Order: sequence, then C-alpha cells, then structure tokens
Amino acid sequence: MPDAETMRPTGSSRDATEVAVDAALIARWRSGDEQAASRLVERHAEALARFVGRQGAVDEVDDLVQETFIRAFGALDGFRADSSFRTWLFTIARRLVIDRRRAQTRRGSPVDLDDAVMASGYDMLDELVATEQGERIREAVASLTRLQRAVFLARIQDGLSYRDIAETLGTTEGAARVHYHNAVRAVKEHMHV
Amino acid sequence: MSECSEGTWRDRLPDLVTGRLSDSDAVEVDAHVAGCRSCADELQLLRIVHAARPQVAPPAVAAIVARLPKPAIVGAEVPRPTASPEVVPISQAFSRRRPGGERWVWRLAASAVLMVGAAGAFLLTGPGTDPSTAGEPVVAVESIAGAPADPTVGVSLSYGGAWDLSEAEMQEVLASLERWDGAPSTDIETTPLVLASGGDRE
Repeated sequence: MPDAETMRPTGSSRDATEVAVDAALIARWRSGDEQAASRLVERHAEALARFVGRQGAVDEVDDLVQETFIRAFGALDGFRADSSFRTWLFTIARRLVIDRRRAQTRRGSPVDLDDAVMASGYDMLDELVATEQGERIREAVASLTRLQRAVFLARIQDGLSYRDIAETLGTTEGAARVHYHNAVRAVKEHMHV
Repeated sequence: MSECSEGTWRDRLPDLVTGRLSDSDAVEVDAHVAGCRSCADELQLLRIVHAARPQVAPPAVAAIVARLPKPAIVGAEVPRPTASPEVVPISQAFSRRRPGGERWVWRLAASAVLMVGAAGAFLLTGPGTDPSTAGEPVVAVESIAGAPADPTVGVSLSYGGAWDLSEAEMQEVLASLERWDGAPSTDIETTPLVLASGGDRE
C-alpha cells in the first residue's frame, strides 16, 4: 500500500497524484485505519464547503458538508476510482442541495435554484466590488447563464477539470469545455464594453 | 482582443491559476504566456476571479469524522443488515421457515395419506371389479407434483394399492410429495382428498 503522506507529484499530472493519495487513504480507511478518514476530510472539507455555498445553500453549509461526507463514506464500496474523490463528493453534495430545494418547495417554501445560484455568484465576488474592475467582473459573471457560471467558477475557483465538471454537473466533457470558453468570452466582452 | 489561436494553451490557463500543473508544465505555460498577449490578459482575468473565491469557515473536521460510519474491514465478516428484509429464493423460503428436523413429520403424514387413500380405493372397488383393468395398478400423481392449481383436484388415486408400486415408483411418488412440501403448511390439512370412485374425504 502506498504511503499517502509521503507521496509527491513527480510526473506531469498533479491531478493523478491527488487521486492516488485519495485512493491510498481510502484503502487505509477500508483496512481499519480511522485516521485516514480524518485526512480525507481535511483534504476536501474546505473545497466542499465552498462548492456547497456556491450552490446557494449558504445557511446550510456545515450540515450539508457533514451529510455529504457521511453519505460518501457510507457508500465507499460503490466509489469508482475512475473519478476523483473530490468530484464524487461534489456530485453527492449537489444532489443533496437539489433534494433539499425540492423538499422545501414541497413544504410550500419555493426556492428558485437558479436564483439561489445566481445569488451565491454575487456573494462569492463581494470582495471585488470595492474596485471598479471588481464590480464589472461581478456583473459579467452574474450575466452568464446558470450553466456557464457553474462551469466557469468550477474551473477557475475549484480547479476542476472538464471531465470532473461534466461528472459533477451531469453534462458532457465537450459541453463543459464549450460552456467554459463561452463564459470566458462573455466576461471579456463585458469587461471591454 | 484577439484570442490565442492555440486552444490547448487557453485550456491550461485555469490549471495554472489553480496550481494543478506540475512544475515542468507550469514553466511551459508561463513561457507561452510571456509571448502571447491574449493569454496574458486572460490569465490576469482568471487570477482575479480565482482570488475572489468565497472564504469559508474551516469545517469542524473532528465533528465530521465522529459521525462517519466505521469501516467494514476487508476480510472481516460483514454482519447481515437487519433493516432490510432478507431475500431468499422461493425454493428455500419454506425450508428456512421450517427447520429440517420437522421434515420427517411431513414425510410420515404424506405416506399415511397415501396408504389410507390406497386402502380406501382398494376397499371400495376391490380387486378384479373390472377385469379389463385388473392387475394393472395405476397411481395418478399428476396433480401431486406441484401445488394444485385447483384445490378441488387434490390428490387423485385410481384403484390399486401403494404396495403394488415398485421401489422406483414409490421413490418417485415420495419425491413428488417432497416437492409438494413447498405448499403452505396449512394447506396440507385442508386439501381435499378426492378418490376416483368414492366421496370426498379429508
């Protein structure tokens, strides 16, 4: 079993190293090492919290992050190593957010998911508003379609690959690439108007 | 602003911003950006957006870990789940419900039914009543083999005695009765026994 703590990127892909480290930690956890679970949570909790917040569930971030990890570890036997552990977590979290929105809607408190995502898009750029350039970027991002914005921010802020974005958002790798480049083009145009 | 004609460089800019490139790849992309105005502008934009990542409070790792399920250690015996109903093949369902130690009771009961039926038929018809069929014992067991679709059909026996069966035939009859064991246990007592030449009898 590889030593996850001492692995360092040596090749051309840092992603591959990250996936290998996660795989080693998962193997350790499966063999009874509960410390490996702590390492996995430490590695992904913050990115997961950021992702959940951007889905519009700002008030439920802690709860959703915890629920996501519980579900993930409860279903690790079904985890396929052909995708990264972080992507898998994001996918679970996104489904949880959608399920909660639907439940809220059934209870009579409708929440427009698109609006929620857009609102979080504003929130995440609040720090830029202080500057004129920041304000224009904020406006540009807010003007994107929901999917363009989701892909753009996942690529730039979460560092997900097109493949991971496709898996997380339930689209294709090619579509994710198109959405990203369209988003970049739209933001540039907005900035130079 | 014209875009870089080489899309592969633009595709790698986000990876450079988020630190996902290896050192050698990062140097390679940096070298391209140094000579490409379009990519340099795009990289600056991406860095601004990346720097504006929402700040989140550090998650309480210990609290999360405390609620995680325990690992099912590889090689250890995994306890059967108790929440969901156990699924067993229908062919095993009844034998699981009735311990094997009770099976001899049903065999004995089935044999007794067979013997009583055969004796009844013998008494009612008697040997040689019909010369054309005398000495040709026939035991119709077609409705025994499976659970009877029509419960009134029951077990149909023509005249003849069980003692007339060969060992192989008797084994076949007993095997059929054994398969009949899949019927609900309560049906055994209430299934009518229809004699070919007599009235109903339980």
